[in-house]
Amino acid sequence: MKKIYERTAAILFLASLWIVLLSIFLIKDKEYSENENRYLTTKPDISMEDVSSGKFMDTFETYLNDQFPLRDKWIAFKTDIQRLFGKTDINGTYLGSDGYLFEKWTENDFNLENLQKNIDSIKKFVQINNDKKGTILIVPTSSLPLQDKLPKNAPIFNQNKAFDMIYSNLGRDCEQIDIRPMLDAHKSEYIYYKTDHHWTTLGAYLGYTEWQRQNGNLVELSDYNVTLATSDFKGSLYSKVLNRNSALDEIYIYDKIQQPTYKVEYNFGKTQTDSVYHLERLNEKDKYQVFLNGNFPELTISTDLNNEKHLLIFKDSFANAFIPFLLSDYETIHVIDLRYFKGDLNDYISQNNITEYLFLYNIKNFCEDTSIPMIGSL
Amino acid sequence: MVFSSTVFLFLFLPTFLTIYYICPSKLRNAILFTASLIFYAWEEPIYIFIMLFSTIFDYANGLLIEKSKNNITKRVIVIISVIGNLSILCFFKYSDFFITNINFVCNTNINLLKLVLPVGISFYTFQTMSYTIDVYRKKVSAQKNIINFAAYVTMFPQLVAGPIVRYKTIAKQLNKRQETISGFVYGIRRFIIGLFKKVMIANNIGLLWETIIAGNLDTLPVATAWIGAISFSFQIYFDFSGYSDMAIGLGEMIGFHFLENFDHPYIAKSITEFWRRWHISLSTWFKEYIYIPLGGSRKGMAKQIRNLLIVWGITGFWHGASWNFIFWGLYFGFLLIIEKLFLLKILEKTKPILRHLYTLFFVIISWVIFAFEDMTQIAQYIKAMFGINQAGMFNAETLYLLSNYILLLIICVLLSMEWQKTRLAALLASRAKWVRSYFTMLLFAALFIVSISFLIGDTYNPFLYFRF
Repeated sequence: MKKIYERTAAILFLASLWIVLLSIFLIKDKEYSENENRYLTTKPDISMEDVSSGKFMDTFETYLNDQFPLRDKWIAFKTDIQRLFGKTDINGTYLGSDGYLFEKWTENDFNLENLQKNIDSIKKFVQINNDKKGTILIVPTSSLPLQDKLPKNAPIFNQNKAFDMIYSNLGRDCEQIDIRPMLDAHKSEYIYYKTDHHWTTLGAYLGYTEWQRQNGNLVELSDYNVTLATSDFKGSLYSKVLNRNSALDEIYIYDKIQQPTYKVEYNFGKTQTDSVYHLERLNEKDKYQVFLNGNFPELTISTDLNNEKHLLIFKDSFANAFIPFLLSDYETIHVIDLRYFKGDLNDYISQNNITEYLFLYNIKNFCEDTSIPMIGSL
Repeated sequence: MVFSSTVFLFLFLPTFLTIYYICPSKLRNAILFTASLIFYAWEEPIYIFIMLFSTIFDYANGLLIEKSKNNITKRVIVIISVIGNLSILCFFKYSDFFITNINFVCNTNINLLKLVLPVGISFYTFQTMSYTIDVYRKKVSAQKNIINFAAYVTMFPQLVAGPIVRYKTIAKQLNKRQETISGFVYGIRRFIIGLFKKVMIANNIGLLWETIIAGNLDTLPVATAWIGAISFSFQIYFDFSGYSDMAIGLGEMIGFHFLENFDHPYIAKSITEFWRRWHISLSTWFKEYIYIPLGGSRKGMAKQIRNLLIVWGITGFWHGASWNFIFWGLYFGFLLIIEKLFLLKILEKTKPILRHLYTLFFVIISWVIFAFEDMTQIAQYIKAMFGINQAGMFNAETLYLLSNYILLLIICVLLSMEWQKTRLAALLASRAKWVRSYFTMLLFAALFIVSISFLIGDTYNPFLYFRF
């Protein structure tokens, strides 16, 4: 009896190791991991030089890990076990209630000097461009309006501290849109995605409403056709956790019933479309790219309005869901993502007859961004 | 290569075991030697030559000691061997430490060498020294076959992190050993237990420690500081003993029997007992090759105290080229002296629970000294543990961390206890054998699968915002 058992155990153990090894070698390499949003390492070529420098070994180890059979399943299983142990903080992501995931952003992560630098740059930009109407709209991270859904006692950075710094530092030359009370009033609605760090189209709509309200304009929801674009979106925060029973997010599209015709030119006119929505992106993992086709260094929307209003937006990806609401307000809307923009901003501003500008950032991105100082050094 | 990696588990290990068992016994030491070289070269191709030098050097020394008829010659050779080994160790491990201190004391400006520490050097130099010294003491005869000796020095199971296998422990097994299927299966079990301890327990409880020390130590409340120190105590135990389990398991898989390296250290009821249970192969080594030659406890109390301080200063220094390790060693030296002088007698009369708490208290504090190389951080942390920083008893984060880790902490406590001698173990052992066997197999399969999921999970590297 003992003999049979021991033989079985020994053979099973060795066989399982061999099966894994052979499946790594024999199954065709996967090139890209959607969940990780990165290219995977494929089988490296061996060379004497790489072996003696150790580079081959490093690449080879990454290759084995990246091509491990059923890799995502193993990781999901790890998440299962961690949750079984009561962990609500996995891979820098908080597992909140009602299926909400939150970015873990703590006091330790907050970089005061960097924020101050960004504020100073904007101040400088505002002073130089005081002939134009300027606006700044900062979007809180979901953990502020939805703090009731955070795990109990979870340490989190007090975003209000950063908001206070921004709004008290920037003078009257720049209109400040504080959307926190608005979002707080609607916190029971679907204003942030559960599995992604972005705000929903409703959240963006509320932000737009608040901006218009401060300018004396009334926005009515009945002016829009709201359609459900997808109901199985699993966003960036899901990708960090890979929880098996993850919530599925819905993406809605808001079309204004009476809207001017327009065209969108991406990246200095390299490509052109007639819609701000890219429904083909809904077939991909990162479905948030349905808005403006993702992030571009530059894009320009020209409408058939003739109101001489030319807006320039400095933004991060939070603006992508927001910009479609501006279509019926401007003759042209110029959008610059400073993280990728490499051109001459001065020329850009004067050539496009900019009359207004808007800074639209998520608070966390705004605190951590290192490309904003570019505009202060014009 | 480390054991807890995909490349070791799924490429090296199956290939090695298969070739090892296909080949006849005569070739097995050669295969073990070759495999060990590949294992070592995977990480550091260049440093392989230091290890080979060490091998040839002490192989020759061993033979010369045995061959020479003159006692003085023998003595000279053994001294050459010790000096040779210590020079290699000191050069690679301690050069920068000495340079830094010389620069500090003499106000000089000598450049640091910034050498990468060759993996396992602290272990294999101690092993080869044990060999020549034991040949000199006529405890073992010199190894004639250089392949067998090379297999001993480079043996991959214990190469990276011990245990320090003294030559005499496995001298016979090197020349002739009997691999059995029972030994192989026992080896698998030990290996899986070790892997589980390392990747599932140690790495995760280590996250708690890292979270706690990532913040400002001056605002750490008492409870958080203690949770942190306790989690580090568990991390280091499960990490290190897990590694020893894997080493012992791998040894068993190929017919070697290493001595145990850990024996439930956290159930100890005195510091003296703790060190009989913690890193046994190291304390045995120091006892046998330093403490006893210095005279041990046989030459009066004063000499004994001196010897203890020397041994524990060196023990600390062996753990790392930094002052905090020396202090850590001396801290234990002092505690052991106090216990020898009078404390053990008092402890005998106190309740076991108090003895246990006393031991854990000083052991946990010792790990704080061990954890930080920077003295100010040690001071900050210890202040936090005793509330001297006035940061309060606990805060919301304490509660949050507890809610996230309480289960893991409980499991750590349970796994630190000695279950083998309990009634539960006896009960399980009395059940029908085949049920036990297959239940055990399932259990180990589960542990293995969980470990792999954590191993693979750690390589998960989402890159979320940019793609170029």
